[in-house]
Amino acid sequence: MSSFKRDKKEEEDSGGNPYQNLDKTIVLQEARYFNETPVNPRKCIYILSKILYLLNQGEKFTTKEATDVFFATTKLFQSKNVMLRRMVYLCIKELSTMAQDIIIVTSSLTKDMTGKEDLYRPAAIRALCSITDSTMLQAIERYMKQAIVDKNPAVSSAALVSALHLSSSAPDLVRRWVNEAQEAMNSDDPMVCYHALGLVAGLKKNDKLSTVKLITRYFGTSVKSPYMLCLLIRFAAQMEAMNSDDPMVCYHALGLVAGLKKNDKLSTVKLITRYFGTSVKSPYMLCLLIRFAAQMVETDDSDTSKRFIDFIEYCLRHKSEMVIYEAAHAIVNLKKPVRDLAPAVSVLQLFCGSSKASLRLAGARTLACLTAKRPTAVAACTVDLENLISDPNRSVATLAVTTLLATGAESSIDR
Amino acid sequence: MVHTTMEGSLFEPTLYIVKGMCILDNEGNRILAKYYDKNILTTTKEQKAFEKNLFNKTHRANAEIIMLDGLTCVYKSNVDLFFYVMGSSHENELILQSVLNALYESVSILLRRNVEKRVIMENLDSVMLAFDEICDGGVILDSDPTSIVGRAALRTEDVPLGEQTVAQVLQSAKEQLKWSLLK
Repeated sequence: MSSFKRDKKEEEDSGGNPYQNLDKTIVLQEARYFNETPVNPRKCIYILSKILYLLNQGEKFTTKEATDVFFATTKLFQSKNVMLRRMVYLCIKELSTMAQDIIIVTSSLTKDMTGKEDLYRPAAIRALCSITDSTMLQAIERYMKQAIVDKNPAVSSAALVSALHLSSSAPDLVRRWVNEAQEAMNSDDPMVCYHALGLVAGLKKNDKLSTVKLITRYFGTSVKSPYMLCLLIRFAAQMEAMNSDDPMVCYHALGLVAGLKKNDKLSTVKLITRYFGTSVKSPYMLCLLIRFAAQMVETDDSDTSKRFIDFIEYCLRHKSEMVIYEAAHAIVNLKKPVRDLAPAVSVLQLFCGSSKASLRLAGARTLACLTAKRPTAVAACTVDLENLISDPNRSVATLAVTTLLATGAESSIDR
Repeated sequence: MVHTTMEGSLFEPTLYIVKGMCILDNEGNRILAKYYDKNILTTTKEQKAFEKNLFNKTHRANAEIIMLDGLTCVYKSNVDLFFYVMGSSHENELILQSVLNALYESVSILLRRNVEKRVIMENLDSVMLAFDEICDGGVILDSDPTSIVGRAALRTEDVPLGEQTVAQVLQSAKEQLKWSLLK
Protein backbone atom coordinates (compact mmCIF):
# COMPACT_ATOMS: atom_id res chain seq x y z
CA MET A 1 0.00 0.00 0.00
CA SER A 2 2.74 2.39 0.93
CA SER A 3 4.62 1.66 -2.26
CA PHE A 4 1.45 2.24 -4.21
CA LYS A 5 1.09 5.59 -2.51
CA ARG A 6 4.61 6.52 -3.36
CA ASP A 7 4.16 5.58 -6.97
CA LYS A 8 1.07 7.68 -7.11
CA LYS A 9 2.90 10.59 -5.53
CA GLU A 10 5.75 10.37 -8.00
CA GLU A 11 3.33 10.22 -10.84
CA GLU A 12 1.62 13.32 -9.58
CA ASP A 13 4.90 15.15 -9.17
CA SER A 14 6.00 14.61 -12.71
CA GLY A 15 2.34 14.94 -13.66
CA GLY A 16 3.06 12.68 -16.61
CA ASN A 17 4.24 15.93 -18.12
CA PRO A 18 6.16 15.12 -21.28
CA TYR A 19 7.34 18.71 -21.55
CA GLN A 20 9.02 18.93 -18.19
CA ASN A 21 12.78 19.48 -18.13
CA LEU A 22 13.11 19.61 -21.89
CA ASP A 23 16.64 20.20 -23.01
CA LYS A 24 17.17 22.41 -26.02
CA THR A 25 20.14 20.49 -27.43
CA ILE A 26 18.32 17.16 -27.21
CA VAL A 27 15.22 18.56 -28.86
CA LEU A 28 17.33 20.09 -31.62
CA GLN A 29 18.91 16.71 -32.21
CA GLU A 30 15.50 15.10 -32.38
CA ALA A 31 14.63 17.54 -35.14
CA ARG A 32 17.04 15.63 -37.37
CA TYR A 33 14.44 12.90 -37.40
CA PHE A 34 12.46 15.08 -39.82
CA ASN A 35 14.85 14.07 -42.59
CA GLU A 36 13.71 10.46 -42.48
CA THR A 37 11.29 9.07 -45.02
CA PRO A 38 8.53 8.14 -44.85
CA VAL A 39 7.45 10.77 -42.39
CA ASN A 40 5.88 9.53 -39.17
CA PRO A 41 3.30 12.29 -38.54
CA ARG A 42 2.66 11.58 -34.89
CA LYS A 43 6.27 11.51 -33.88
CA CYS A 44 7.06 14.65 -35.87
CA ILE A 45 4.07 16.52 -34.40
CA TYR A 46 5.38 15.66 -30.96
CA ILE A 47 8.87 16.95 -31.75
CA LEU A 48 7.44 20.11 -33.31
CA SER A 49 5.31 20.80 -30.26
CA LYS A 50 8.40 20.39 -28.09
CA ILE A 51 10.21 22.99 -30.19
CA LEU A 52 7.23 25.34 -30.03
CA TYR A 53 6.97 24.79 -26.29
CA LEU A 54 10.62 25.72 -25.81
CA LEU A 55 10.17 28.86 -27.91
CA ASN A 56 7.04 29.76 -25.98
CA GLN A 57 8.91 29.39 -22.69
CA GLY A 58 11.34 32.02 -23.92
CA GLU A 59 14.24 29.70 -24.75
CA LYS A 60 16.75 31.51 -26.98
CA PHE A 61 17.73 29.87 -30.27
CA THR A 62 20.83 31.06 -32.07
CA THR A 63 20.45 32.00 -35.73
CA LYS A 64 22.18 28.80 -36.75
CA GLU A 65 20.04 26.60 -34.54
CA ALA A 66 16.88 28.28 -35.73
CA THR A 67 17.93 28.00 -39.36
CA ASP A 68 18.78 24.32 -38.96
CA VAL A 69 15.43 23.52 -37.41
CA PHE A 70 13.69 25.62 -40.02
CA PHE A 71 15.28 23.71 -42.86
CA ALA A 72 14.54 20.39 -41.18
CA THR A 73 10.85 21.29 -40.90
CA THR A 74 10.66 22.08 -44.62
CA LYS A 75 11.20 18.36 -45.24
CA LEU A 76 7.86 17.69 -43.57
CA PHE A 77 6.00 19.28 -46.48
CA GLN A 78 6.07 15.88 -48.16
CA SER A 79 3.53 14.58 -45.64
CA LYS A 80 -0.15 15.22 -46.28
CA ASN A 81 -1.13 14.93 -42.62
CA VAL A 82 -3.27 17.97 -41.78
CA MET A 83 -2.25 18.30 -38.15
CA LEU A 84 1.42 17.95 -38.97
CA ARG A 85 1.14 20.54 -41.71
CA ARG A 86 -0.55 22.97 -39.33
CA MET A 87 2.20 22.49 -36.77
CA VAL A 88 4.79 23.14 -39.47
CA TYR A 89 3.07 26.43 -40.28
CA LEU A 90 3.16 27.40 -36.62
CA CYS A 91 6.86 26.60 -36.47
CA ILE A 92 7.52 28.62 -39.59
CA LYS A 93 5.79 31.61 -38.07
CA GLU A 94 7.66 31.32 -34.80
CA LEU A 95 11.04 30.82 -36.41
CA SER A 96 10.56 33.43 -39.13
CA THR A 97 12.09 36.16 -37.00
CA MET A 98 15.14 34.10 -36.03
CA ALA A 99 16.11 31.92 -38.97
CA GLN A 100 17.79 32.91 -42.21
CA ASP A 101 16.71 32.25 -45.79
CA ILE A 102 13.15 31.60 -44.69
CA ILE A 103 11.86 32.54 -48.14
CA ILE A 104 12.73 29.02 -49.22
CA VAL A 105 9.27 27.83 -48.13
CA THR A 106 7.44 30.43 -50.21
CA SER A 107 6.64 28.05 -53.03
CA SER A 108 5.45 25.26 -50.71
CA LEU A 109 3.19 27.67 -48.88
CA THR A 110 1.91 29.21 -52.09
CA LYS A 111 1.04 25.73 -53.27
CA ASP A 112 -0.85 25.04 -50.04
CA MET A 113 -2.72 28.33 -50.09
CA THR A 114 -3.96 27.76 -53.62
CA GLY A 115 -4.52 24.04 -53.15
CA LYS A 116 -7.75 22.16 -52.71
CA GLU A 117 -7.40 21.32 -49.03
CA ASP A 118 -9.51 23.88 -47.14
CA LEU A 119 -7.95 22.88 -43.86
CA TYR A 120 -4.53 24.05 -45.02
CA ARG A 121 -5.41 27.19 -46.87
CA PRO A 122 -6.17 29.77 -44.16
CA ALA A 123 -3.19 28.76 -42.06
CA ALA A 124 -0.91 28.64 -45.10
CA ILE A 125 -1.89 32.19 -46.03
CA ARG A 126 -1.09 33.47 -42.58
CA ALA A 127 2.23 31.65 -42.48
CA LEU A 128 3.14 32.88 -45.94
CA CYS A 129 2.39 36.48 -45.10
CA SER A 130 4.47 36.26 -41.95
CA ILE A 131 7.59 35.34 -43.95
CA THR A 132 6.98 37.60 -46.95
CA ASP A 133 8.61 40.99 -47.25
CA SER A 134 7.46 43.79 -49.50
CA THR A 135 9.73 42.75 -52.37
CA MET A 136 8.31 39.25 -52.45
CA LEU A 137 4.79 40.37 -52.00
CA GLN A 138 4.27 41.09 -55.66
CA ALA A 139 4.81 37.45 -56.49
CA ILE A 140 1.90 36.35 -54.35
CA GLU A 141 -0.31 39.35 -54.99
CA ARG A 142 -2.59 37.53 -57.38
CA TYR A 143 -3.19 34.71 -54.93
CA MET A 144 -3.86 37.12 -52.10
CA LYS A 145 -6.51 38.92 -54.14
CA GLN A 146 -8.17 35.61 -54.90
CA ALA A 147 -8.01 34.51 -51.28
CA ILE A 148 -9.62 37.71 -50.04
CA VAL A 149 -12.74 37.03 -52.10
CA ASP A 150 -12.68 33.27 -51.49
CA LYS A 151 -16.04 31.85 -50.56
CA ASN A 152 -14.56 29.97 -47.62
CA PRO A 153 -14.83 32.46 -44.71
CA ALA A 154 -11.74 31.13 -42.95
CA VAL A 155 -9.63 31.70 -46.07
CA SER A 156 -11.05 35.14 -46.60
CA SER A 157 -10.54 36.19 -42.96
CA ALA A 158 -7.00 34.87 -42.93
CA ALA A 159 -6.15 36.82 -46.08
CA LEU A 160 -7.74 40.02 -44.78
CA VAL A 161 -6.00 39.90 -41.43
CA SER A 162 -2.68 39.08 -43.08
CA ALA A 163 -3.17 42.00 -45.44
CA LEU A 164 -3.80 44.24 -42.45
CA HIS A 165 -0.52 43.13 -40.91
CA LEU A 166 1.28 43.66 -44.22
CA SER A 167 -0.23 47.08 -44.71
CA SER A 168 2.12 48.51 -42.10
CA SER A 169 5.18 47.40 -44.08
CA ALA A 170 3.90 47.64 -47.66
CA PRO A 171 0.94 50.02 -47.64
CA ASP A 172 1.10 50.89 -51.33
CA LEU A 173 0.92 47.31 -52.46
CA VAL A 174 -1.85 46.29 -50.10
CA ARG A 175 -3.85 49.35 -51.17
CA ARG A 176 -4.24 47.69 -54.54
CA TRP A 177 -6.32 44.96 -52.91
CA VAL A 178 -8.96 47.37 -51.74
CA ASN A 179 -11.54 46.33 -54.31
CA GLU A 180 -11.32 42.72 -53.24
CA ALA A 181 -11.53 43.71 -49.60
CA GLN A 182 -14.61 45.79 -50.31
CA GLU A 183 -16.17 42.83 -51.99
CA ALA A 184 -15.44 40.78 -48.88
CA MET A 185 -17.38 43.34 -46.86
CA ASN A 186 -20.53 41.93 -48.46
CA SER A 187 -19.82 38.50 -47.09
CA ASP A 188 -22.43 36.69 -45.01
CA ASP A 189 -19.82 35.65 -42.50
CA PRO A 190 -19.69 38.03 -39.52
CA MET A 191 -15.94 37.73 -38.96
CA VAL A 192 -15.13 38.29 -42.64
CA CYS A 193 -17.13 41.54 -42.69
CA TYR A 194 -15.42 42.67 -39.52
CA HIS A 195 -11.94 41.99 -40.82
CA ALA A 196 -12.76 43.50 -44.19
CA LEU A 197 -14.04 46.70 -42.65
CA GLY A 198 -10.96 46.98 -40.48
CA LEU A 199 -8.67 46.51 -43.45
CA VAL A 200 -10.48 48.77 -45.89
CA ALA A 201 -10.86 51.57 -43.38
CA GLY A 202 -7.19 51.14 -42.57
CA LEU A 203 -6.14 51.44 -46.19
CA LYS A 204 -8.26 54.47 -46.86
CA LYS A 205 -7.03 56.56 -44.04
CA ASN A 206 -5.77 59.21 -46.43
CA ASP A 207 -8.83 59.21 -48.58
CA LYS A 208 -11.33 60.60 -46.18
CA LEU A 209 -14.25 60.91 -48.52
CA SER A 210 -14.19 57.26 -49.46
CA THR A 211 -13.80 56.23 -45.83
CA VAL A 212 -16.98 58.05 -45.05
CA LYS A 213 -18.71 56.40 -47.95
CA LEU A 214 -17.36 53.08 -46.89
CA ILE A 215 -18.66 53.28 -43.41
CA THR A 216 -21.95 54.78 -44.48
CA ARG A 217 -22.60 51.67 -46.48
CA TYR A 218 -23.27 49.78 -43.30
CA PHE A 219 -25.89 52.08 -41.98
CA GLY A 220 -29.28 50.66 -42.59
CA THR A 221 -28.02 47.19 -43.14
CA SER A 222 -28.00 44.55 -40.50
CA VAL A 223 -24.50 43.77 -39.41
CA LYS A 224 -24.11 40.30 -38.01
CA SER A 225 -20.77 40.51 -36.28
CA PRO A 226 -20.72 42.06 -32.84
CA TYR A 227 -17.03 42.80 -33.28
CA MET A 228 -17.76 44.67 -36.45
CA LEU A 229 -20.46 46.70 -34.77
CA CYS A 230 -18.02 47.61 -32.06
CA LEU A 231 -15.55 48.74 -34.67
CA LEU A 232 -18.15 50.82 -36.45
CA ILE A 233 -19.19 52.38 -33.18
CA ARG A 234 -15.60 53.25 -32.46
CA PHE A 235 -15.31 54.95 -35.83
CA ALA A 236 -18.41 56.92 -35.09
CA ALA A 237 -17.06 57.93 -31.74
CA GLN A 238 -13.75 58.84 -33.27
CA MET A 239 -15.29 61.16 -35.80
CA GLU A 240 -16.79 62.87 -32.89
CA ALA A 241 -13.52 63.26 -31.10
CA MET A 242 -12.03 64.66 -34.24
CA ASN A 243 -12.24 68.28 -33.37
CA SER A 244 -8.54 68.22 -32.76
CA ASP A 245 -6.78 70.63 -35.10
CA ASP A 246 -4.94 67.76 -36.65
CA PRO A 247 -7.35 64.93 -37.26
CA MET A 248 -4.63 62.72 -38.68
CA VAL A 249 -2.76 62.83 -35.43
CA CYS A 250 -5.78 61.41 -33.69
CA TYR A 251 -6.11 58.82 -36.33
CA HIS A 252 -2.64 57.51 -36.32
CA ALA A 253 -2.72 57.39 -32.61
CA LEU A 254 -5.95 55.49 -32.81
CA GLY A 255 -4.40 53.04 -35.18
CA LEU A 256 -7.30 52.54 -37.48
CA VAL A 257 -7.84 54.69 -40.18
CA ALA A 258 -11.16 56.11 -40.63
CA GLY A 259 -9.70 59.46 -41.46
CA LEU A 260 -12.72 61.52 -42.02
CA LYS A 261 -12.31 65.05 -43.09
CA LYS A 262 -13.84 67.75 -41.01
CA ASN A 263 -15.38 69.08 -44.19
CA ASP A 264 -16.91 65.73 -44.87
CA LYS A 265 -19.06 65.98 -41.86
CA LEU A 266 -22.19 65.78 -43.91
CA SER A 267 -21.32 62.41 -45.33
CA THR A 268 -20.21 61.18 -41.96
CA VAL A 269 -23.49 62.21 -40.52
CA LYS A 270 -25.28 60.42 -43.30
CA LEU A 271 -23.15 57.41 -42.72
CA ILE A 272 -23.93 57.06 -39.11
CA THR A 273 -27.53 58.09 -39.32
CA ARG A 274 -28.23 55.31 -41.78
CA TYR A 275 -27.94 52.91 -38.90
CA PHE A 276 -30.27 54.76 -36.61
CA GLY A 277 -33.55 53.04 -36.20
CA THR A 278 -32.44 49.96 -38.04
CA SER A 279 -31.89 46.72 -36.29
CA VAL A 280 -28.20 46.13 -36.26
CA LYS A 281 -27.78 42.51 -35.34
CA SER A 282 -24.15 42.50 -34.42
CA PRO A 283 -23.38 43.93 -30.99
CA TYR A 284 -19.76 44.45 -32.01
CA MET A 285 -20.86 46.55 -34.91
CA LEU A 286 -23.19 48.54 -32.72
CA CYS A 287 -20.31 49.23 -30.38
CA LEU A 288 -18.31 50.60 -33.25
CA LEU A 289 -21.23 52.70 -34.37
CA ILE A 290 -21.56 54.10 -30.89
CA ARG A 291 -17.91 55.05 -30.94
CA PHE A 292 -18.41 56.82 -34.25
CA ALA A 293 -21.49 58.57 -33.08
CA ALA A 294 -19.81 59.77 -29.92
CA GLN A 295 -17.02 61.17 -32.00
CA MET A 296 -19.46 63.04 -34.16
CA VAL A 297 -21.11 64.64 -31.17
CA GLU A 298 -17.79 66.06 -30.08
CA THR A 299 -17.07 67.75 -33.38
CA ASP A 300 -20.48 68.88 -34.30
CA ASP A 301 -22.12 71.93 -32.81
CA SER A 302 -25.19 71.87 -34.92
CA ASP A 303 -28.48 70.20 -34.19
CA THR A 304 -27.33 66.98 -35.78
CA SER A 305 -25.25 66.13 -32.78
CA LYS A 306 -28.46 65.65 -30.90
CA ARG A 307 -29.36 62.82 -33.22
CA PHE A 308 -26.14 61.08 -32.43
CA ILE A 309 -26.77 61.39 -28.75
CA ASP A 310 -30.24 60.02 -29.32
CA PHE A 311 -28.78 57.09 -31.16
CA ILE A 312 -26.33 56.33 -28.39
CA GLU A 313 -29.06 56.62 -25.82
CA TYR A 314 -31.19 54.32 -27.89
CA CYS A 315 -28.40 51.77 -27.73
CA LEU A 316 -28.68 51.78 -23.95
CA ARG A 317 -31.76 49.65 -24.43
CA HIS A 318 -30.05 47.03 -26.58
CA LYS A 319 -30.22 43.45 -25.36
CA SER A 320 -26.48 42.84 -25.50
CA GLU A 321 -24.58 43.98 -22.42
CA MET A 322 -21.58 44.72 -24.57
CA VAL A 323 -23.50 47.32 -26.53
CA ILE A 324 -25.21 48.79 -23.47
CA TYR A 325 -21.87 49.30 -21.84
CA GLU A 326 -20.31 50.77 -24.96
CA ALA A 327 -23.16 53.27 -25.14
CA ALA A 328 -23.06 54.20 -21.47
CA HIS A 329 -19.29 54.58 -21.65
CA ALA A 330 -19.57 56.85 -24.67
CA ILE A 331 -22.21 59.07 -23.06
CA VAL A 332 -20.27 59.45 -19.86
CA ASN A 333 -17.04 60.30 -21.66
CA LEU A 334 -18.43 62.86 -24.05
CA LYS A 335 -16.66 66.16 -23.55
CA LYS A 336 -19.79 68.01 -24.42
CA PRO A 337 -22.26 68.19 -21.57
CA VAL A 338 -25.10 65.82 -22.20
CA ARG A 339 -28.56 66.98 -21.34
CA ASP A 340 -29.36 64.00 -19.25
CA LEU A 341 -26.81 61.61 -17.85
CA ALA A 342 -29.33 59.74 -15.76
CA PRO A 343 -30.12 56.84 -18.14
CA ALA A 344 -26.44 56.06 -18.66
CA VAL A 345 -25.73 56.33 -14.97
CA SER A 346 -28.59 54.04 -14.07
CA VAL A 347 -27.33 51.44 -16.55
CA LEU A 348 -23.90 51.62 -14.96
CA GLN A 349 -25.58 51.39 -11.60
CA LEU A 350 -27.24 48.16 -12.70
CA PHE A 351 -23.88 46.85 -13.87
CA CYS A 352 -22.47 47.48 -10.39
CA GLY A 353 -24.97 44.99 -9.01
CA SER A 354 -24.25 42.35 -11.63
CA SER A 355 -23.04 38.89 -10.70
CA LYS A 356 -20.32 39.11 -13.36
CA ALA A 357 -17.15 40.74 -12.15
CA SER A 358 -16.34 42.11 -15.61
CA LEU A 359 -19.60 43.99 -15.61
CA ARG A 360 -19.11 45.29 -12.09
CA LEU A 361 -15.62 46.49 -12.96
CA ALA A 362 -16.80 48.07 -16.19
CA GLY A 363 -19.57 49.85 -14.30
CA ALA A 364 -17.41 51.00 -11.42
CA ARG A 365 -14.58 52.12 -13.70
CA THR A 366 -16.83 54.24 -15.84
CA LEU A 367 -18.50 55.76 -12.79
CA ALA A 368 -15.06 56.56 -11.41
CA CYS A 369 -14.25 58.48 -14.59
CA LEU A 370 -17.49 60.34 -14.29
CA THR A 371 -16.79 61.32 -10.70
CA ALA A 372 -13.94 63.51 -11.80
CA LYS A 373 -16.20 65.48 -14.10
CA ARG A 374 -19.68 65.33 -12.69
CA PRO A 375 -19.62 64.26 -9.05
CA THR A 376 -23.26 65.11 -8.61
CA ALA A 377 -24.31 62.66 -11.29
CA VAL A 378 -22.65 59.81 -9.44
CA ALA A 379 -24.30 60.71 -6.16
CA ALA A 380 -27.26 58.51 -6.97
CA CYS A 381 -24.99 55.48 -7.09
CA THR A 382 -23.38 55.98 -3.69
CA VAL A 383 -25.22 53.06 -2.14
CA ASP A 384 -24.30 50.71 -4.98
CA LEU A 385 -20.69 51.76 -4.78
CA GLU A 386 -20.69 51.22 -1.04
CA ASN A 387 -21.86 47.68 -1.63
CA LEU A 388 -18.88 47.18 -3.90
CA ILE A 389 -16.39 48.07 -1.16
CA SER A 390 -16.60 44.52 0.14
CA ASP A 391 -16.55 43.08 -3.37
CA PRO A 392 -14.59 39.82 -3.69
CA ASN A 393 -12.81 41.31 -6.69
CA ARG A 394 -10.17 43.65 -5.38
CA SER A 395 -9.94 45.79 -8.49
CA VAL A 396 -13.65 46.46 -8.21
CA ALA A 397 -13.41 47.19 -4.51
CA THR A 398 -10.48 49.57 -4.96
CA LEU A 399 -12.28 51.47 -7.68
CA ALA A 400 -15.35 51.76 -5.51
CA VAL A 401 -13.34 53.12 -2.59
CA THR A 402 -11.51 55.66 -4.73
CA THR A 403 -14.73 56.83 -6.27
CA LEU A 404 -16.46 57.15 -2.93
CA LEU A 405 -13.55 59.08 -1.47
CA ALA A 406 -13.78 61.53 -4.33
CA THR A 407 -17.51 62.02 -3.98
CA GLY A 408 -17.58 61.55 -0.24
CA ALA A 409 -19.98 63.63 1.72
CA GLU A 410 -20.38 63.85 5.46
CA SER A 411 -23.60 61.92 5.37
CA SER A 412 -21.89 58.83 4.01
CA ILE A 413 -19.26 58.64 6.73
CA ASP A 414 -21.63 57.10 9.23
CA ARG A 415 -22.46 54.25 6.92
CA MET B 1 4.30 50.50 -20.25
CA VAL B 2 0.75 51.61 -20.58
CA HIS B 3 -0.39 53.86 -17.79
CA THR B 4 -3.69 53.61 -16.10
CA THR B 5 -5.48 56.85 -15.68
CA MET B 6 -8.76 57.60 -14.10
CA GLU B 7 -9.48 59.85 -17.01
CA GLY B 8 -12.06 58.47 -19.38
CA SER B 9 -11.49 58.31 -23.09
CA LEU B 10 -13.29 56.96 -26.09
CA PHE B 11 -12.45 53.49 -27.37
CA GLU B 12 -10.15 53.45 -30.34
CA PRO B 13 -11.39 51.89 -33.58
CA THR B 14 -8.85 49.25 -34.48
CA LEU B 15 -8.78 45.55 -35.13
CA TYR B 16 -5.79 45.17 -32.83
CA ILE B 17 -7.65 44.50 -29.62
CA VAL B 18 -5.97 41.62 -27.81
CA LYS B 19 -2.66 42.44 -26.12
CA GLY B 20 -1.98 38.95 -24.90
CA MET B 21 -3.33 35.57 -23.93
CA CYS B 22 -1.86 33.01 -21.57
CA ILE B 23 -2.49 29.79 -19.71
CA LEU B 24 -0.69 29.31 -16.39
CA ASP B 25 -0.54 26.32 -14.07
CA ASN B 26 -1.35 26.32 -10.35
CA GLU B 27 2.08 27.63 -9.43
CA GLY B 28 1.91 30.51 -11.85
CA ASN B 29 4.26 28.88 -14.34
CA ARG B 30 3.64 29.50 -17.98
CA ILE B 31 2.11 26.70 -20.01
CA LEU B 32 1.46 28.84 -23.06
CA ALA B 33 1.64 32.57 -23.51
CA LYS B 34 1.45 34.97 -26.40
CA TYR B 35 1.91 38.73 -26.40
CA TYR B 36 0.83 40.68 -29.43
CA ASP B 37 1.80 44.28 -28.76
CA LYS B 38 5.39 45.07 -29.65
CA ASN B 39 5.43 48.01 -27.27
CA ILE B 40 4.62 46.23 -24.04
CA LEU B 41 6.25 43.30 -22.26
CA THR B 42 8.88 42.85 -24.92
CA THR B 43 11.26 40.46 -23.18
CA THR B 44 10.50 37.02 -21.81
CA LYS B 45 11.77 38.19 -18.44
CA GLU B 46 9.27 41.05 -18.30
CA GLN B 47 6.50 38.75 -19.48
CA LYS B 48 7.21 36.12 -16.85
CA ALA B 49 7.46 38.73 -14.11
CA PHE B 50 4.10 40.09 -15.24
CA GLU B 51 2.62 36.58 -15.26
CA LYS B 52 3.90 35.88 -11.72
CA ASN B 53 2.45 39.14 -10.54
CA LEU B 54 -0.82 38.47 -12.32
CA PHE B 55 -1.00 34.97 -10.88
CA ASN B 56 -0.26 36.13 -7.32
CA LYS B 57 -3.03 38.67 -7.56
CA THR B 58 -5.59 36.34 -9.09
CA HIS B 59 -5.11 32.74 -8.03
CA ARG B 60 -6.95 33.00 -4.75
CA ALA B 61 -9.60 35.53 -5.63
CA ASN B 62 -11.92 34.01 -8.16
CA ALA B 63 -12.89 37.36 -9.49
CA GLU B 64 -12.94 37.18 -13.32
CA ILE B 65 -11.23 40.50 -13.98
CA ILE B 66 -8.34 42.62 -12.76
CA MET B 67 -6.58 45.80 -13.82
CA LEU B 68 -2.85 45.38 -13.60
CA ASP B 69 0.06 47.41 -14.97
CA GLY B 70 -2.19 49.34 -17.31
CA LEU B 71 -3.76 46.21 -18.75
CA THR B 72 -7.25 44.89 -18.23
CA CYS B 73 -7.01 41.14 -17.69
CA VAL B 74 -10.03 38.87 -17.73
CA TYR B 75 -9.48 35.39 -16.38
CA LYS B 76 -11.01 32.08 -15.57
CA SER B 77 -9.66 29.05 -13.76
CA ASN B 78 -10.40 25.38 -13.54
CA VAL B 79 -8.77 22.75 -11.30
CA ASP B 80 -5.09 23.65 -11.78
CA LEU B 81 -5.21 25.87 -14.88
CA PHE B 82 -5.61 29.64 -15.21
CA PHE B 83 -6.67 31.28 -18.47
CA TYR B 84 -6.03 34.97 -19.07
CA VAL B 85 -6.81 37.42 -21.86
CA MET B 86 -5.22 40.86 -21.70
CA GLY B 87 -6.26 44.09 -23.38
CA SER B 88 -5.55 47.76 -23.01
CA SER B 89 -7.13 49.44 -20.00
CA HIS B 90 -9.16 51.49 -22.46
CA GLU B 91 -10.74 48.43 -24.02
CA ASN B 92 -14.30 47.20 -23.82
CA GLU B 93 -14.12 44.57 -21.07
CA LEU B 94 -16.89 42.55 -22.61
CA ILE B 95 -15.07 42.10 -25.91
CA LEU B 96 -12.12 40.73 -23.94
CA GLN B 97 -14.52 38.52 -22.04
CA SER B 98 -15.86 37.11 -25.31
CA VAL B 99 -12.30 36.25 -26.37
CA LEU B 100 -11.65 34.57 -23.02
CA ASN B 101 -14.81 32.53 -23.43
CA ALA B 102 -13.71 31.48 -26.89
CA LEU B 103 -10.30 30.45 -25.53
CA TYR B 104 -11.64 28.59 -22.52
CA GLU B 105 -14.48 26.89 -24.35
CA SER B 106 -12.34 25.71 -27.23
CA VAL B 107 -9.64 24.37 -24.92
CA SER B 108 -12.34 22.72 -22.87
CA ILE B 109 -13.78 20.99 -25.92
CA LEU B 110 -10.31 19.98 -27.09
CA LEU B 111 -9.59 18.39 -23.72
CA ARG B 112 -13.00 16.71 -23.68
CA ARG B 113 -14.00 18.80 -20.68
CA ASN B 114 -11.06 17.59 -18.60
CA VAL B 115 -9.58 21.04 -18.16
CA GLU B 116 -6.51 20.22 -16.09
CA LYS B 117 -2.77 20.44 -16.45
CA ARG B 118 -2.05 16.79 -17.12
CA VAL B 119 -4.55 16.66 -19.97
CA ILE B 120 -3.54 19.98 -21.48
CA MET B 121 0.07 18.81 -21.60
CA GLU B 122 -0.97 15.70 -23.52
CA ASN B 123 -2.81 17.87 -26.04
CA LEU B 124 -0.48 20.82 -26.17
CA ASP B 125 -0.26 20.71 -29.97
CA SER B 126 -4.02 21.17 -30.42
CA VAL B 127 -4.08 23.94 -27.83
CA MET B 128 -1.27 25.75 -29.65
CA LEU B 129 -3.29 25.55 -32.85
CA ALA B 130 -6.36 26.85 -31.03
CA PHE B 131 -4.35 29.84 -29.78
CA ASP B 132 -3.34 30.47 -33.36
CA GLU B 133 -6.94 30.23 -34.57
CA ILE B 134 -8.36 32.62 -31.99
CA CYS B 135 -5.99 35.52 -32.38
CA ASP B 136 -3.60 36.56 -35.13
CA GLY B 137 -1.18 39.25 -34.04
CA GLY B 138 -3.76 40.86 -31.76
CA VAL B 139 -6.67 40.66 -34.21
CA ILE B 140 -9.58 38.49 -33.12
CA LEU B 141 -9.69 35.89 -35.85
CA ASP B 142 -12.58 33.82 -34.62
CA SER B 143 -14.70 33.77 -31.50
CA ASP B 144 -16.81 30.71 -32.11
CA PRO B 145 -15.45 27.74 -30.10
CA THR B 146 -16.90 25.10 -32.40
CA SER B 147 -15.33 26.51 -35.53
CA ILE B 148 -12.03 27.08 -33.70
CA VAL B 149 -12.01 23.49 -32.53
CA GLY B 150 -13.05 22.34 -35.96
CA ARG B 151 -9.81 23.74 -37.27
CA ALA B 152 -7.55 22.88 -34.34
CA ALA B 153 -8.57 19.37 -33.36
CA LEU B 154 -7.68 17.30 -36.33
CA ARG B 155 -5.80 14.57 -34.61
CA THR B 156 -8.72 12.36 -33.73
CA GLU B 157 -9.70 12.21 -37.36
CA ASP B 158 -6.41 10.89 -38.61
CA VAL B 159 -6.49 7.80 -36.40
CA PRO B 160 -8.89 5.46 -38.16
CA LEU B 161 -11.17 3.44 -35.92
CA GLY B 162 -9.33 0.27 -36.75
CA GLU B 163 -6.05 1.62 -35.44
CA GLN B 164 -7.42 2.81 -32.11
CA THR B 165 -6.80 0.54 -29.18
CA VAL B 166 -9.76 -1.06 -27.44
CA ALA B 167 -9.06 1.13 -24.41
CA GLN B 168 -9.21 4.30 -26.52
CA VAL B 169 -12.52 3.32 -28.05
CA LEU B 170 -13.95 2.50 -24.63
CA GLN B 171 -12.65 5.75 -23.22
CA SER B 172 -14.18 7.89 -25.92
CA ALA B 173 -17.47 5.99 -25.65
CA LYS B 174 -17.46 6.58 -21.90
CA GLU B 175 -16.78 10.29 -22.37
CA GLN B 176 -19.56 10.62 -24.88
CA LEU B 177 -22.01 8.87 -22.61
CA LYS B 178 -20.96 10.98 -19.64
CA TRP B 179 -21.46 14.21 -21.55
CA SER B 180 -24.73 13.20 -23.05
CA LEU B 181 -25.98 12.47 -19.53
CA LEU B 182 -24.63 15.69 -18.10
CA LYS B 183 -26.27 17.82 -20.75
